[in-house]
Amino acid sequence: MQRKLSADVEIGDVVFSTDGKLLRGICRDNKLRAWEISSGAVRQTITFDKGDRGAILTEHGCTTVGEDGTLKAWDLTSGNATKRTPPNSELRPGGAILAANGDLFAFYGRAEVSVRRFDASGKERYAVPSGIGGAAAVAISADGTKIAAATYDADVRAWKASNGELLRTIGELPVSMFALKFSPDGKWLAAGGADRQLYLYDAETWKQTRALSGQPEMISAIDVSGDGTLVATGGFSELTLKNPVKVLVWDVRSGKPVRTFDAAQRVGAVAFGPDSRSLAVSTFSKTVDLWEWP
Amino acid sequence: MLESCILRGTLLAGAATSMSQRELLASWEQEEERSHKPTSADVLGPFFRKGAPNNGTLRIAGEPGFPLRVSGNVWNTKGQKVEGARLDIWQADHAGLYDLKGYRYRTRLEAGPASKYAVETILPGHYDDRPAQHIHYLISAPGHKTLITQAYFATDPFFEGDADKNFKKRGIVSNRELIRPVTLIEAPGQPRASIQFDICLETL
Repeated sequence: MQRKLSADVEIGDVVFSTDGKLLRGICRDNKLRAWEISSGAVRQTITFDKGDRGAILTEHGCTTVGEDGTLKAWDLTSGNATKRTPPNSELRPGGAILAANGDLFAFYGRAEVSVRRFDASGKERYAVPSGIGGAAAVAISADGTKIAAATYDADVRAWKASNGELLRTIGELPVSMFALKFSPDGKWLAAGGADRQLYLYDAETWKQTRALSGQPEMISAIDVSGDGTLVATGGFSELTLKNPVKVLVWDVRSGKPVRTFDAAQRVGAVAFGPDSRSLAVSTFSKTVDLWEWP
Repeated sequence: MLESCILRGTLLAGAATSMSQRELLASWEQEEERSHKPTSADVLGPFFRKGAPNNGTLRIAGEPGFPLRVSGNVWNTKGQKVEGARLDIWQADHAGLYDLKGYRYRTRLEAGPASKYAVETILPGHYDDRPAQHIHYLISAPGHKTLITQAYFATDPFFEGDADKNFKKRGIVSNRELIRPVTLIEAPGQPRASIQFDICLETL
């Protein structure tokens, strides 16, 4: 069954609330909206500061980067920016991802990219190099112990979040990964990008355990269901971002796609509902498709 | 760059009758300063592919596309030739598509003994989402900062005949200097376009 949630501006990244009652989305008018799933009504609007960019949304909260390079963490309940790092022009262009414990991990740079950790008080703990060409995707494990980033030079790196120790550089992938997501238990990492393959990596040994073919387009969005049994992938056509594309839901155990949905154009985000039987698909348009199945 | 310095010297000498020595010196110093300025960076883009073969001829017999020669020198900001520079060069085909499974229109060259490089290819195609023709570069060399940049074409219809006026259109081109003049080489039966794209790397 398909339903739609809509706004009067384009919607980008989306994530369900942990209770599954709301879908939150970053909107092009620099606001975060939360739709009530049952009614489709907008129940909350958070307005970011003027000039904020690079919003990244997770279940834990949302981050933006201000014009002066201030990283901000937004509390999803109160709608306030609860953490701010000192201004730092080096942090633009860039973005940050928020850990469950309140740590912020910033990924910044256009040519040579670095990752920095800021603790809950906003103090910088480390800065480590993380490839070249800009960060194409970032991910953090649910327990906040591991972070991973893909850069446009086709490398994927994983670090120990606490101290920035490089756990592995995955250098065997020929092309850039545009989407990364840890499994809920943090034991594996899903990656997809320009070669249309869905890769699964063991997040202890960092060995590739699966390379799954079937997504017709380049992969730009990935999510893993809360029970860890399903992976959703969405992508974009190499001809134009405006072409319709497919969204696939994969069974992790069999490695086969078990559901296929149509998307009107390039997919910006896919997000499973907490019941693992619904999927939100955002295509940078004014509506989010909400697919549900028994 | 040495050749262009000589050329500039000739031109400046020819103009000496109408310029004072002081003006001439200032002009020369300005040129020198500019010639040691690092090449502007541009985005890497999402379609880099590792492991391209060292191949000076990317043009493929029977495939559409207007023949193009791209050549240049690799220097550094101290005005020295850069030995051992590696140049990853990649572009879209005539239809505007990148090869993401193989290495069509992709190469990884080593600049020759005189720090020169050359590639025989085709004019890259246009594609909707980034409609200015361009060629990607990723250049690395020991002792130098890695450079990511792109070359564009002054003849591209995207610039509507006036690259100076229109280079900021849609925010695609990071710097006017990356748009290169295109010359036509009229070999009998085999006309081809040519651009010179010199690279200047920052030293570490």
